[in-house]
Amino acid sequence: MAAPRRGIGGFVARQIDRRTPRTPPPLAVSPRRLYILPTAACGLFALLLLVMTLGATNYGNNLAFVLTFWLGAVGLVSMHRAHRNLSGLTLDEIQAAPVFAGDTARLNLVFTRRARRDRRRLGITLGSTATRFFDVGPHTTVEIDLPTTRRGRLALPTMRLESRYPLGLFRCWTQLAPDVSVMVHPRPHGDSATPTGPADGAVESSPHGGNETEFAGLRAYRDGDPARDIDWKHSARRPHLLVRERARSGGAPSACFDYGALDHLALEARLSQLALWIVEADAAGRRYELVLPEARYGPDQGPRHRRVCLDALAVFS
Amino acid sequence: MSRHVSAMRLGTRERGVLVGLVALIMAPHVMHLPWWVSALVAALLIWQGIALARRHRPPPLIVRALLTAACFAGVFAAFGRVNGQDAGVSLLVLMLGLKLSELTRARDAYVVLTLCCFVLATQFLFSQSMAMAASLVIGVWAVIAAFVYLHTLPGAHRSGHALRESAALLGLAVPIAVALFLLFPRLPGPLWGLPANDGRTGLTGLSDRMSPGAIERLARSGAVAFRARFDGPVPSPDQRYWRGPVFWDLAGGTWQNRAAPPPPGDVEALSAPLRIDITLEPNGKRWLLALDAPLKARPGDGRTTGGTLVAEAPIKERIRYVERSATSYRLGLDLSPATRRRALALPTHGNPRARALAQRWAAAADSTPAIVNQARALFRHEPFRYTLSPPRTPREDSIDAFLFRTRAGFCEHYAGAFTFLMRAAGVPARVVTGFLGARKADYGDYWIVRNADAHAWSEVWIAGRGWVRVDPTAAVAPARIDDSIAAAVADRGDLAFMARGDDRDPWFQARMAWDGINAAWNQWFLAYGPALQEKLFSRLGLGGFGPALAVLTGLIVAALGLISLLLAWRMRPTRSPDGVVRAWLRVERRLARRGLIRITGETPGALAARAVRRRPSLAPELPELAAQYTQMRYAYPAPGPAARRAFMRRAARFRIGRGR
Repeated sequence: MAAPRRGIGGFVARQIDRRTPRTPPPLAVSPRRLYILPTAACGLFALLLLVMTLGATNYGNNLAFVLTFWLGAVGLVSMHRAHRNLSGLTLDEIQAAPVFAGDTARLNLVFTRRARRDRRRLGITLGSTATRFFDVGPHTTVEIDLPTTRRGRLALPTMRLESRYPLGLFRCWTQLAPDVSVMVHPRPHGDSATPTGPADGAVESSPHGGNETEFAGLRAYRDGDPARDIDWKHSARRPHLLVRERARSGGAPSACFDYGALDHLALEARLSQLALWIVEADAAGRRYELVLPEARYGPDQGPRHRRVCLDALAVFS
Repeated sequence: MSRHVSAMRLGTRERGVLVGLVALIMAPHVMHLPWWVSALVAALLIWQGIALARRHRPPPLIVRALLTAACFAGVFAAFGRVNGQDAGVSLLVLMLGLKLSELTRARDAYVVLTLCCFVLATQFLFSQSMAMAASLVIGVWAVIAAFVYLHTLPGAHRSGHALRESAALLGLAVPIAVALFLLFPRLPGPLWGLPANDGRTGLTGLSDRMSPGAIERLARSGAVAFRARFDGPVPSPDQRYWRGPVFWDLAGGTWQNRAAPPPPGDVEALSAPLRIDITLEPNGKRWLLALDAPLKARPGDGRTTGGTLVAEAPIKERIRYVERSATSYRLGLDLSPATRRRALALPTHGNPRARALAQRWAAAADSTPAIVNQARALFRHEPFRYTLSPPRTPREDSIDAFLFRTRAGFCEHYAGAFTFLMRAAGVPARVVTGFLGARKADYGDYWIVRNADAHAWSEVWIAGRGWVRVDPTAAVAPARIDDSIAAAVADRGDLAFMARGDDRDPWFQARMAWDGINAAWNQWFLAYGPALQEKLFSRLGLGGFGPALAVLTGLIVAALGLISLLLAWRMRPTRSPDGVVRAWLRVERRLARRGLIRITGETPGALAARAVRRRPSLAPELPELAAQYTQMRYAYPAPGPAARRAFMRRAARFRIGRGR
């Protein structure tokens, strides 16, 4: 975020920030937090109207009066239309897939509109990214790229949603502060040898042999669980979805990626190395276990395990 | 941020729309701009169209600067100036054409759109007809559509949407525009003077002299001279004399005023005055036509000795005024010796036969009316003809030739000869020009007087009666008085189509209908100005301009105040009857002041937990309060009054420190 601004502009910005609570989606554009200001083009337009009024008075020219007043009235109406273009809009959802540090996070902003009218040429600016323009139909997804630098949980910067439609004489805008963050995983990097065997004291937990996956109980649904694992029959009686948990057993012994074993590296380098191992192991379809000073994950495999492990690395401190 | 947007580059489509818009806006100007300006603008437009299609870069700065200088030089060479109406508009149009060659950024587009609005307005300096009103609607629709187009993302229905949205905006704006048009305080213009070269040459109307053939030429024109609305009874056809300039001096066969006319005589009404509302077409002269004889001049306007109303300045715009006239009157009862001498003066020689005849009448008659009747009898009994194309008479002794040889002439011949005869017989006389007749409009409650109704008659001064109208034409062609010129002249074919007034002709009917629409346009739209606005205000019971302004301001302030109150009422927090709820809401307000606003659907417990995450110092007080509040609201059995009071006291004490 930019440095705090001074003066009146800064005061206004702070007041607006204060009135914009961080809220998880859906975020409705509240008419009470819609701000509207004339643009530079409006200044030119006002000058035109002034000159035309003087001219019409001088010549006593009624058609010129009509033109002047009509244009002025259209300007006023356009202010209302600019406001209408934004109000009643909802930022329903923000989909943000995790990325590695240094990559660009692709955000999908899903907008819906309450009234049936389409919204035209809205501009959205996230922090210091370039403004992106889009129309909103019944259901619109806007993709925004957000550069990342460091691992961690990256809270989305405050968004500015604006509209100059229809005439560009007024800029109507609102500030949205969605309580959403993007998980930025450590960048996979490192050249230490990949550990292959289980670590000392690691216990092969699966009592079963072979490659079969077997039913091991029900648990609550978590993001990333495959839909086919959902137990619809049992879920129907619960407030949340239930997932059949399978005990996976691989033929290969699981690898153990131990944070403590990398004590020759600095913190970030260690995390990068662990991330690299996890990515490689996952790509190879191997089972692995991540051991951090205060937690251990696995041994397991699959996209969900990969995600859990990388998330743990991202927020590790 | 606004800098970014106005610096945004324009695409080919946007530029194409702007070039097309400029072409559309400039089209009506072709009618009155010099041909070379129109040609140059057309060339600039075509050039830009080609440049767009082939994606040329804008010409270098030096080329643009040279073209601009050339345009200035051209306009200066053609008009001798760069301001003023024609020169200024030419320059504006050329600059707008040139601006198209440097359309790169959004701010250029705003400049072009603004200039388009201005060019649209300048059209009305040349004409304010209904056709121009149509051009206004199309032009403003196109300009606003271009504004919308620039603020719409590319897509399949972009231009269609822009046109629809433009129409919607304009439609919604109509009530505001109408209110502004009627109520916006109008100041009487001009503020800095009207341009000298207003391009209105060739205005036709009554001349400031009457030479043979002058009125005849005017009478061939079917153009409207003025329209009149009678507030009350309509005078009979033989009373529909409209007074124009009066001439005293005859020289070289032409009646004119060689010296300033004598001071005006008084008018004394002998009949009930008529109120007549006249919309006069511009005629380039100062005459304010009025039914004979006008009683009261407009403030600031004067009156000539002939009783004609005159405006302060030549009439170059269509004007509307109300005059009061009496059809029976006494005009100029007193005749000063100097005026009498002037009313009797004749050229020293020429027309001997006419002089001899007049002197014979004077010798035989015992009173002035008897002499007048002699002249009337001459015109009635001799074979005089009333014609639009009289045979030519020689310059010398033209009255003799007319009276005794050709005996065919138009009203000015009769009026001129009659006045000559009267003066020769020693009766003070003068020539009056104006209009005779009026035709009821087929559509609308008004009467049309055309140039074809132009007429000339005489006035003789009779002791005790003042100046008395004598129309010698009546003796020759009575139909001219009772009917119209078309009924009076034998050679109707020479008349303008509209002057013939053939009711059965559908084309004539259509033209009359159009005239009705036009008259309404002139009377109700174009004439609306400071005077009519004041009238409207007083009709609304607002008195003059000042009170109206005060009332309007008051109304607007009251309306805004009412809206604010309404909004405040709608946004008022609902007050709960439960003290526990109120106490908790107070806690919530304290939190909100620190930016911790409860989200819709968030329970007190969740809010407290979120608040503690942000401000750890709020623990454990806030979570405990939240838990207690939930207890108070939902526990069964409900807590007693003592517990409720304890909670309210605790909640009231809740404060949030400055730190985290």
